[in-house]
Amino acid sequence: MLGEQEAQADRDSLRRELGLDKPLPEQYVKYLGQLTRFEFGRSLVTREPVGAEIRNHFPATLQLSIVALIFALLWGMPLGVMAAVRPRSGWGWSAEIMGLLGMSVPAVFLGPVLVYVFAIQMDLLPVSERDGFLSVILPGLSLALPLGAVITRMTRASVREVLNEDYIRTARSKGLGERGIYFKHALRNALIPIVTIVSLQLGALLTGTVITETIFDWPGIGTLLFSAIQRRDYPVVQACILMVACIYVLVNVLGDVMYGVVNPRVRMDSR
Amino acid sequence: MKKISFGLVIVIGMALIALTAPWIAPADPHGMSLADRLQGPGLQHWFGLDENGSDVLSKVIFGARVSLGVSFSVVGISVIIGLLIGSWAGYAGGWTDHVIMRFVDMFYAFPGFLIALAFVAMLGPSLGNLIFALSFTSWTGFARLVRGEVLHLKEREHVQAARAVGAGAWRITALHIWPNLLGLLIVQATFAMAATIIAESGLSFLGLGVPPSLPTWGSLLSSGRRVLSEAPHVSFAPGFAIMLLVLGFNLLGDGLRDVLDPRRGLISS
Repeated sequence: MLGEQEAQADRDSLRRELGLDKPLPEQYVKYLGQLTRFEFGRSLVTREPVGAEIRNHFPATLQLSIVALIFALLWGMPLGVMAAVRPRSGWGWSAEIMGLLGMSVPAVFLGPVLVYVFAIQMDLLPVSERDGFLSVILPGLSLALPLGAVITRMTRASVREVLNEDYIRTARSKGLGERGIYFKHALRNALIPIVTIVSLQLGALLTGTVITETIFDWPGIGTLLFSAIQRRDYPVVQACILMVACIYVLVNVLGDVMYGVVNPRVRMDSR
Repeated sequence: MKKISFGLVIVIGMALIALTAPWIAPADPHGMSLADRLQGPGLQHWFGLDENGSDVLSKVIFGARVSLGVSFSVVGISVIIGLLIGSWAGYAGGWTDHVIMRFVDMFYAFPGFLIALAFVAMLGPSLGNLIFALSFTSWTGFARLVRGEVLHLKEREHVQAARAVGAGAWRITALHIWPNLLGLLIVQATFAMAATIIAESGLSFLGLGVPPSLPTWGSLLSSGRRVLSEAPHVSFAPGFAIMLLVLGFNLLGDGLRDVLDPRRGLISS
């Protein structure tokens, strides 16, 4: 914060101001105390409180994550179900191809391709910065393709397994329509592994997808963390990493709770 | 089988390109001709020129070395560490297992890409640092996999028999357990190659990979982003290269899993 040339008196007063003259254990206890009040100190670069920086950036990441998740579920789940039901049809092949392709296209390539096709060639959608709902579509799609690929593969595998169960035969023999069988009985029972994958992936999305956010100049946690790392802005880096870890754990707990919602069999018995 | 053949052709082809890069590259990847910068693809420069007037094809060819070299090192290190730690935890069981696995969970709780990013930013860009940063979290997947299998394999009769005749723990592990893990590890390593190539390209894209003097697919994409509207070929050539190589490993992994582990193949292919 000070240059090499500063007078010793200035250095001493800054050390006092930052509390660096106190013993280390005391500094650490003070730091923990501040954490309980969500005080992360100030950014070394902008001098803004770190809490405010995070509050400013998190909504963008949240919005992008939710949009990406919705896009991914919208194309991944139906394709996965249909591919499990009719593996030898066009559905099966599209699931196979989209699954492999989605897993193999890196964000560093998908982003520029989407920008080139939809923003530069067709001039349909805005390229970058967060400005209105249209601007979230391209980064959202860019995250949704790989995510949807994972969901497709998972849905297909788990529905395929469920389709051999007795209750599916029961449902069919009591004259239920095909749609009812697949989307109600089969999908509902196949949801557990899908919920696991989705909650893990949501954790990754919410902790900021540095690359996609960078490509689309999206002002989220990912870009905040990346610029903080580059500028050696330690309080911001510290707070971001702490938050990332918390979100990760929180989303995983949420996934566990969702198990009970989608599948009453794993609900804990009241003792 | 079709998947394995396709995957093998892509992976072996790329490996050959990487190995013979200095001889097959049509031009010096660092050569510049500013007068022709951003020239589109043509007969002389198949993939065109980038913003410094360097031949994109040559850069893509040399980039294969970094991608494959880094991923191979990272996956190799991860397999070795994961195998040792996972076997130790699984074979010892009880408290040892408990303590080791909580330690592994600690690494698992963080998004690996962010940790790698922070490490490279802290240590500075170099090949060694990049490999260290990417290996730092990727071994945990192997450790968990190995531990689970060892827990299950050590109850098998042939292992019990070896123990009964007085073989030591490491001898049993190495001779009677590890050979049974081979298929599983190869499948997992193939998928890990795909994931590491994506992570490496991401770090290079952010300028946090290897030193800028080495041509990489990620850094080429990053420079291509600035000229996307007038010269999309600068982005598309390395992008396709990454996609192809990752696709190759994913195909290979899918196919090998179906063959080596039919039980799992049915569930999760």
